[in-house]
Amino acid sequence: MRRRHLLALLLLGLTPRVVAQEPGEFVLIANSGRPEVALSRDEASRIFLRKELSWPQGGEVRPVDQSADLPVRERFSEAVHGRSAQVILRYWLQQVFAGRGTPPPALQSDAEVLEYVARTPGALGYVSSGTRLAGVKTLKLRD
Amino acid sequence: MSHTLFLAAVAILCSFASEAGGAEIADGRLVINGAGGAAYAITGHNDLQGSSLEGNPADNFRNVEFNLTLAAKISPRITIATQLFFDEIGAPEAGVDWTFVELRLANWLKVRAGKVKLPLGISNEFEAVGTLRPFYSLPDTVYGPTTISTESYYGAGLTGELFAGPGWTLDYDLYGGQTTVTTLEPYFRLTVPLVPGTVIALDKDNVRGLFGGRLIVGTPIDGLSLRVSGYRGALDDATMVAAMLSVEYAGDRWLVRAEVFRAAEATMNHGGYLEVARYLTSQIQVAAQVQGMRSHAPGVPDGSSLLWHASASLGLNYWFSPGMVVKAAVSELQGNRLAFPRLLDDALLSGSLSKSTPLFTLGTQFSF
Repeated sequence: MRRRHLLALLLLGLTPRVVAQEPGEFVLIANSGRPEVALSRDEASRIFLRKELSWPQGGEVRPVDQSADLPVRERFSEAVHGRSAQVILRYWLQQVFAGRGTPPPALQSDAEVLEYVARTPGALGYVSSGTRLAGVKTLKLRD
Repeated sequence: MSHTLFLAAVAILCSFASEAGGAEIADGRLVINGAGGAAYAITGHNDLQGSSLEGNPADNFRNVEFNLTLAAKISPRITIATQLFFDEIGAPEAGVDWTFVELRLANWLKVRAGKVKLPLGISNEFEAVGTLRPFYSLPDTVYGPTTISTESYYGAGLTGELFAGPGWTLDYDLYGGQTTVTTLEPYFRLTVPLVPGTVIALDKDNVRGLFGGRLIVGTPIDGLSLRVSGYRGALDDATMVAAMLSVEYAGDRWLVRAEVFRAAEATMNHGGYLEVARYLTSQIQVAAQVQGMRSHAPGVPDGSSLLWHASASLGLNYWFSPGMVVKAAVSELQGNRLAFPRLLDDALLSGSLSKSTPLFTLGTQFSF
């Protein structure tokens, strides 16, 4: 029965959105020097799209992304931007070649993101939930 | 190493890259991106957009190009950006597409100065990036040598995001300076005595006192946006006014774009296109496109086929990665506004001008 439902969802093309919006699949992390305890989805989206260069409480924000072929990037993209990682990649291609901006650096693993955020003042990143965290603080993601 | 081999090597390297992030140097203060491609096209008996004028044979052409974009972040609010191009469309050519400095005062106010990409329609700013479109070339009625399209302007401009509410966004551009538009106007052969052996040249007209802008409205429907853009400037003998309306839906699977334009100077041009593309799988994409264009020129009989263009195209693309694609397309072109024989006067004198032009294009494009 469950398989039938899944098949129906697949046919409707709904599966990626449903899967991507399940909570708890990634954790938002910030450099431990930041005072913020939470970000709204809109704030996080604007920071990662480089439309906002500052933290809500002031100071330069330095977002770091994950490589486009990692599942956590897709989940983050759907949950925060409301769009697939593919659509966001196309957005950045347009920005770059119009000379309008460059994307945040994209690192290859949770460990690299964790290390970058821990050592970079103002850094904001995300890692797969379940990643052992050290030297960073977690931020809640509000609607 | 020939340009083709060089670009093939670059393309293979780029097939491993799917990020828009390119290469970063000096802790991200210098970012390098690239895009390019190579294509071969057979045009039947007519010459598309005067391609033979640049050294190609009359009935087919090769296109090889590579663009390198560099962005240097001098500080969090100051960026210097430039794009270099190398191409071989008939003859080898290299140069600077644009180079400018941008000062970000606020998200709603960024000041740009230098040789800046012209913000016109959906695609003018990233004409160099084939991985952002379903066909090898941008629709030539809007982005070809039809008076309106120009890659960049010399001057200064403002850009930014004016509004971002629940679901809605409003972005703007305002600019002023001068530019050069490329035009191909075969119909003017009908206003002078025909001379066998004459080859028409692509013209470049200076537009001074340029002033223009663009508004982009993002809608609550994810991926759906509307644009209105245009500019006004002075040619040597007339005032030019160009305006364009654009609609785009860019989703995960579907891409729909439609644009219409009107450009008035001594000659009046208007036209547009509709293109639809869909990913059947993450790698296979199909596409369809229709275009139409009409010109009205003083002294040229309105019924002449040199004044109009219509075309329909079907495309099939295979994406190795988001940064690497192979594209094949077949098109049927009608009218001679953009497709005509290399020796047009001879064809007009002998009455052999054909209104129909089949076109087959095969190419690969990449970006990183």
